[in-house]
Amino acid sequence: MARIEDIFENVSDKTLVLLGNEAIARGIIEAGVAGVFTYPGTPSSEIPSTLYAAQSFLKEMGYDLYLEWSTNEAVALEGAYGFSLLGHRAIFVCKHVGLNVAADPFMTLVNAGVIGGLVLIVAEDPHMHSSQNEQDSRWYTKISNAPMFEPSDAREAKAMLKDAFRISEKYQVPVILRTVTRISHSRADILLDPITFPEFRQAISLEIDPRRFVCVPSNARQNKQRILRIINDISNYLAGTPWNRVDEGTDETFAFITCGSTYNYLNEVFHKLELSHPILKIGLSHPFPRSQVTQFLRKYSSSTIIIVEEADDVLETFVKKLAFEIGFQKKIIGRGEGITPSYGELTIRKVWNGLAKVMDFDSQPPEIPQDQSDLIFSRPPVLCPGCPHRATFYALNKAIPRRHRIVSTDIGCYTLGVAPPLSAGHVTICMGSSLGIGSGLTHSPGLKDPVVSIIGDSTFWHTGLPGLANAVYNKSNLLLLVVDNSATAMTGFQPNPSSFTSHSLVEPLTIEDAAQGVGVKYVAAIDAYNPKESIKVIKEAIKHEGVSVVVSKGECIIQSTRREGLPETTYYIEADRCVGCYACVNMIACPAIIWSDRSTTEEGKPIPMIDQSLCTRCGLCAAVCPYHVIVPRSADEVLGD
Amino acid sequence: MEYQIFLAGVGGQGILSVTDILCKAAVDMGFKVHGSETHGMSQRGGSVFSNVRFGDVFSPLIMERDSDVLLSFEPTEALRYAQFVKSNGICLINIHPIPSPSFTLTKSSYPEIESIISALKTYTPNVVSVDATKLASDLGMPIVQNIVMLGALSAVLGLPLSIDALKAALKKQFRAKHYNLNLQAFEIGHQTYQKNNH
Repeated sequence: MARIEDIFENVSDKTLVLLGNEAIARGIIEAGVAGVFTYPGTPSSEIPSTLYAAQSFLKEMGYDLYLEWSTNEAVALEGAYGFSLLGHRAIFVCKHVGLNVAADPFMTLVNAGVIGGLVLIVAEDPHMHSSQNEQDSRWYTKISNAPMFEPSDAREAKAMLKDAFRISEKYQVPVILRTVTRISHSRADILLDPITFPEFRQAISLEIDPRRFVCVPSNARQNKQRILRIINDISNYLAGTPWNRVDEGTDETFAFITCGSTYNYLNEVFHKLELSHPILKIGLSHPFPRSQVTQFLRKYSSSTIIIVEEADDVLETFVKKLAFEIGFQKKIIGRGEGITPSYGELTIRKVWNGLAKVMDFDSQPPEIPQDQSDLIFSRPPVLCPGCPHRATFYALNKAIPRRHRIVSTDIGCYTLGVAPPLSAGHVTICMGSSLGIGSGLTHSPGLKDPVVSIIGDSTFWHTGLPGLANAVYNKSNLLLLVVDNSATAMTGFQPNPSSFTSHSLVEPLTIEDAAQGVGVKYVAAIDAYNPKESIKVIKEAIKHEGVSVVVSKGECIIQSTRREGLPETTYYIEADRCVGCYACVNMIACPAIIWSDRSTTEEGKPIPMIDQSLCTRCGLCAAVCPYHVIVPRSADEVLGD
Repeated sequence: MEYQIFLAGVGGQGILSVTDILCKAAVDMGFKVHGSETHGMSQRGGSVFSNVRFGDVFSPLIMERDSDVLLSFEPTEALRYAQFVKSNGICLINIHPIPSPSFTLTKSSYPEIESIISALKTYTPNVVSVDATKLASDLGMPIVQNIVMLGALSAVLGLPLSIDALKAALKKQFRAKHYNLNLQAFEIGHQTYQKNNH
């Protein structure tokens, strides 16, 4: 990763290798943004994390940035709106599903509009590398009327961000900048532009006109007409935007229309196959650039039009509609004609195959040899060695047998606990769903088994609280197990209200207090790394009538070892006493427990061993071993062996 | 000109660090760079990859059968991504195995390194193995196996990145107190590759 002092150096005309999200973070400072509001989520998280790490550096430079780790995306967007109302430039950052959480304020504040520029950066995750669904945020522009920029790479994302603010302020409307995994997590040479320091105007509360911003029906009707007028004005402005441009091509048999990151895959295929066709590249995709597309279709009225885009067929739908309206006669080929699959992310190969099919040429991408799959084993994401969630789920399994319970889990590292042998989860839908679904299960006729909801600390504050109040109020009979690792770990250790790494704005909030506050009668805290005690408490909690809350505390092992290093005592399997019961392998599946290629039991059974390069010395395996052959030992002694 | 390096391994092995060094060296030499990498889901232990492309490139992703080098920090991970190496490309692997829980739960022995290498040879005849974790452990820091592998890569014939540019990028990457160890790791990797392949 690039260094903070390099990323935010107050220079221009310097080139740095940056992660896409680092480039966008730089762009935010180049745009003179005063407030950033966010809830972390892959692939967006490095945008606020980079700015968070830079806060004191920026302050020394005289740049006062307010960065808020909001508890969820809805309040984040509302917070950003507060900045905008006083005339400041504000940014809201989320992953695609985060916009669903923020959709309620979003849909109405677009109509009421903004005062200071407000840009929503929405990061999508085609192929769901780290997401529960694949959704195309472009549809949100069609139902909200918010303008949208679609960069094709990180360089463009940084440049478009500044234009997004110009449009947002000129037309007093929030604007979306859409990025995807292959932009946010790309790495490229990025040219730095000058930093703009935010101008703090005098309080302009008089401009907050209640007739516009209080969205009661009479005002809302005015606002609806307002946004339609604005969209029309922007459409006229769009006619001249260089973000929607035509790359000329010599062969006009085919003419292409594309947008976003697909532009790069298309160019790559053109480059490889030495093709040259005109391309209309759409960078400002909403309001739909009607006049530019019309011009393009008229100019290439004897060409076959090919539309290539990632995710849904949004561009295609609107181009085909327009073509029908203007009486375009030639063929238009897109997803409807099967050019690329309607799921997953695009690649060079997919685009090449698609073009070969619809353009009917022979050149195919090189063939891939047969897989040697019998030698490959799956290596899915797993709970890390020493993860406190593993210890909690072991205790849960001991306290309530896996076959006699229903577990409604949630979104975070602990979702990885659904894999065998921990098997801690039957259902996960979205942030906070563990409680709503868990509560519904308890009232379902025919339920025989106890219901356990599992939620992490950050997710608890995100959308867990309303579900908890609902469960108490509706007399649901469930156990809520809060796996509190004091970090939003999966997205890169951002602080949350109860993490003690939180930015010391206030005393950390506690989940126990919150649970008691909404009327939970049984609230207990356990130490994740003390399974014996945990089993006892969970057994007791599940017997409680009504909602019980058990908060399992164990700090994320990566976070704690980064701060404090490893303990001096490690654990060791005494091979000569091991009977080969495999409790350690079969009950906790720690990645640090591997098969030894040297020792076997007397009956010739292989014996597990601890890989000291992976072990984080948590001691769970020692607690699990029924024969007590996993013993503490000084690390120096073991590593010296 | 375009040159592509596909990096593969297991989360926690320092793949992104090597990716960053390669990109910096390429930019220092005046190349346009575009790469892509895996983030999220698994902080440690999952299968991860990254792509480094420089020269006349547009896409951030490498196409199957198109990478000049497959640089893998783990043997079976090389096999998982072997379809990305060119049929005459170079497959450079750290032969130190890292099992995973799904493997430990279902199998009792890691595949033979020899059979992994011969499987890799169905993709390209140029398979070069380096015992990078052992070499790094000899330096007292198994974790710098990634830089040993970078050093080995630096000796690959036809790599458009100069040793000087790579070393300069290495220097930028690490704090002063870690630089010497990493430089040693780099040198050892470089020499090992040269010794075994010239």
